[in-house]
Amino acid sequence: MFRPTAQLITLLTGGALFLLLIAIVAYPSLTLVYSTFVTDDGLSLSNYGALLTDADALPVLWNTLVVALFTTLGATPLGVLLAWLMERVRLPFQRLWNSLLIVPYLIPPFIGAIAWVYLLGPVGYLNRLWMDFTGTREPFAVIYGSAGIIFVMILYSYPIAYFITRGPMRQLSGALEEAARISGARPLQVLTQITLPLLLPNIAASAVLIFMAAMANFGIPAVIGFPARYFVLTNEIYQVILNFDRPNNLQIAAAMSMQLVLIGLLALLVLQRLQAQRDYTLVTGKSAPALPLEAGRWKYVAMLLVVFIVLVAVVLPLLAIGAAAITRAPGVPLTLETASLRHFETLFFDIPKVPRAFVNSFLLAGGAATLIAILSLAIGYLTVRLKMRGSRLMDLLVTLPYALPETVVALAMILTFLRPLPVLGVTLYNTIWILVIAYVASFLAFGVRSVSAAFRNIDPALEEAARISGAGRGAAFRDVTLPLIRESVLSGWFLAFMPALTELTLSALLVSVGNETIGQVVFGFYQEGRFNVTAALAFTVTVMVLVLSLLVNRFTRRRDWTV
Amino acid sequence: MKYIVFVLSLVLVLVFSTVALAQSPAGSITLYTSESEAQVNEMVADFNRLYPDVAVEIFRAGSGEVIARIQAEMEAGEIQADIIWFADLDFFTMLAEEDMLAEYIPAGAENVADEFTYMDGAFHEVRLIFNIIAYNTTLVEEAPTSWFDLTDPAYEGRITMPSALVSGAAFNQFGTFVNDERFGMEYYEQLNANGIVVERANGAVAEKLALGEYALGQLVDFFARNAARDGSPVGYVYPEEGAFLVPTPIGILANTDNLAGAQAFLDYMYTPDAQALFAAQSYIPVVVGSPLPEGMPESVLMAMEATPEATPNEEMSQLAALLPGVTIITPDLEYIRANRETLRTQFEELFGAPPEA
Repeated sequence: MFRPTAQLITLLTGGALFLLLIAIVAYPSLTLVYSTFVTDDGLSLSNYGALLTDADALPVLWNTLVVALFTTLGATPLGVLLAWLMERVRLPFQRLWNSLLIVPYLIPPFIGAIAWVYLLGPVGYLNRLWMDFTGTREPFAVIYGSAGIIFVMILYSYPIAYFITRGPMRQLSGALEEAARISGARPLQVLTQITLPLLLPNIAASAVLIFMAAMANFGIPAVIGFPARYFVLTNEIYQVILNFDRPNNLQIAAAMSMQLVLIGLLALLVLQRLQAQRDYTLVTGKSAPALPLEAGRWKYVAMLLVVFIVLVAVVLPLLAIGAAAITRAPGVPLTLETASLRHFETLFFDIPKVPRAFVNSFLLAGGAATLIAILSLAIGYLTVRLKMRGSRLMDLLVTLPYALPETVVALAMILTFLRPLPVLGVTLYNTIWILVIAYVASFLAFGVRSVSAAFRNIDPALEEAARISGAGRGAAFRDVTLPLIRESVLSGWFLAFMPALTELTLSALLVSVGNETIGQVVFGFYQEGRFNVTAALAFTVTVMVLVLSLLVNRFTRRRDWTV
Repeated sequence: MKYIVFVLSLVLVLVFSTVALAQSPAGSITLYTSESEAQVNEMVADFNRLYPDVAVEIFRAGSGEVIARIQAEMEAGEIQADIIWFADLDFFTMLAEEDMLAEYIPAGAENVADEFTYMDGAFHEVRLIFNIIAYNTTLVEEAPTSWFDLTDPAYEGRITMPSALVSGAAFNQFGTFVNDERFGMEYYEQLNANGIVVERANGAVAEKLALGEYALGQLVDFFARNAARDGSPVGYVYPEEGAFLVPTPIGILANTDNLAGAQAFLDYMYTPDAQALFAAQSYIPVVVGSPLPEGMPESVLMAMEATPEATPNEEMSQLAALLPGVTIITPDLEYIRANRETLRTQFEELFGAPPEA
């Protein structure tokens, strides 16, 4: 009887994975690059020429960089500071503060932006309080514009630095800090002269990740930048993609997106350098963890800061969208008598696409996350355990979409799948499948990183022991390795599921009738200018996401999320 | 034996359903529209009381984005919509010239002015909307009267209009006013100098006027009436130079795979039910003699009284009969058609460029 050898199975699985990654990553990427040269008169550089002659091109690139840079400069120190406070200052109810600091990461950023318009729009709640208080008609501050974009981005991206530096901060050998303290260094000196330099690679890595996220963000500048006529690249590309009146619009958009591609790839390169470096600096050995500071003053600083952050990033936005959601009509003062639930009623009973979007998003995110979990398992096993040939190429294909803003991924998908596929003759554009592909390509890295890390942490000797004891390859994997990595696979699933559930950027460009998603529906209502309905939906979605995360945390007993 | 019975009944069911299909419209149709989603859903529910077997799927976005989708789908090979309905008469004309729209005269068309049946029935006007000036009643003491009130320095930075790049209604007005010697490009330059804020869509203009973020602005009339009805502090006027008629045609795509369903949808539009629903939704009905929406200005109601004979006569155009006492500016289709791309660029250059540029 024919029994396929292990090598053959590896070869076939590896081959299939490569084919899949080529279909959903390499082929669309190449199509994107190729399209930048496509014009009506054959291949040329004229799409790039259109960019050079466009008077808006340079300011928009400048805006993009300004927003990303200042967000990085604000969010990184904030995240690191919070990580340090949480690790080194002993607070009452430590776990509560911890979980609170994670909450801003769970709120979809564009919903945060919408909430801040309700708070600090020209007649937002805070500004109206201010005007009533001072008796003037001048608002205290208006959120529209670059400063507002940066402010909101910082609120929702500092958790990246917080997550990335907190673990290493905990593992950092306490001996060094203690030595400094015994020698008379004050807590701040210990922080700046010992702790931060040791963590520099981690801090730099989180800075790069924050920069990439800020540069790629579409929703926040779309909501806060538009009224001030402040545009960044993702918004401009989105506009050009939709402007089919302009000849060659998709190809010009592709040429524009090359700016983001180059910055993204550069950032990715830096990130990989840093990660290689980090592996050496953070060999921590088995020394005792650092002792928490007892200094009373820091305790209050820490609590005040956390309270402020939670207030500004979570409580006020939720209050604002909650209040807007139960306001009868715009401009009607909210009192107990005028409060009404009619907008919730409209949402869930009068507009069929709303309940449909919830079903769609759960199916899409769940389906994509499941595919990602399965693929991650296979990729992790082949690249980490078997160190298959071509592992690095596979890694590259997995990571590539991660370096690209989702606007660019969506454009690549449109360019690739707008026309019927060669040979198969099937058109994926306008079907739900183009979203499935885009989700898998975009969020695959989350799953693979989680699962690969788990594989790396398991000594192959365990599986070998099982094999020596007579277990077959499959049985050894199933009974020894799988139980050990199960939690990582599960967490990879959630890491892909949660962002996919409320994702906006991909669906804003790829959605079709009947295939609406939650994020796109919220954004659609906002764009239609139906603020009370938007608020009701945004409130529902935010509460849903928070409850889900709470359940997930209970369920997986993981105390924090890794990015 | 059981098996044969099963197959037979299956065949019977199939035959009957085919027959039924031939008799009354069924199946599903897809509508691409820029109309307000909740109101379209309300209308579909009403349509389904007459035609319970036709399911209507809706894609809603601004006119500009609906067109983008249609153009993308044309490139992809097939338009997914069976019916389109949005504020870009010029785009409909182009589609009709390419024979992409199915000509059809809906039942009840005899009660509607000829000018609302375009290009031999390729598309139709089923209710009317106008661009007008709306204002926040708590911020504006004296109601505006003219389009030039938007250039009043007293309101500097507190005036608004929807973007012509997104809203078909705004695009048509821009294309018409630019070529009208009373306004011209200077008018828009004056608006810009007066710090007008360009919002994406009419919905945003309506809500932000109600909130008091703006004092006054250009808006489609039914939004203003709806806001006032819901208790928001919003008033509106038909400006003295003229309210701008925004054609929002509806038509059937020639490649529809459910012609009967699509035609039923158009038939519904001229029924008294539909016209009354439009009025209830604050639109101006197109069938003469239909009720007017609530919250019409005094002047219109008085003019209505003065011409009790609601049927149009020789001296009075159909349009004037529908909205007596209101001067109406109609879109300059020829100019818009010839300058479609330039107009977009001009608008973008004046209002769409980042302030730093």
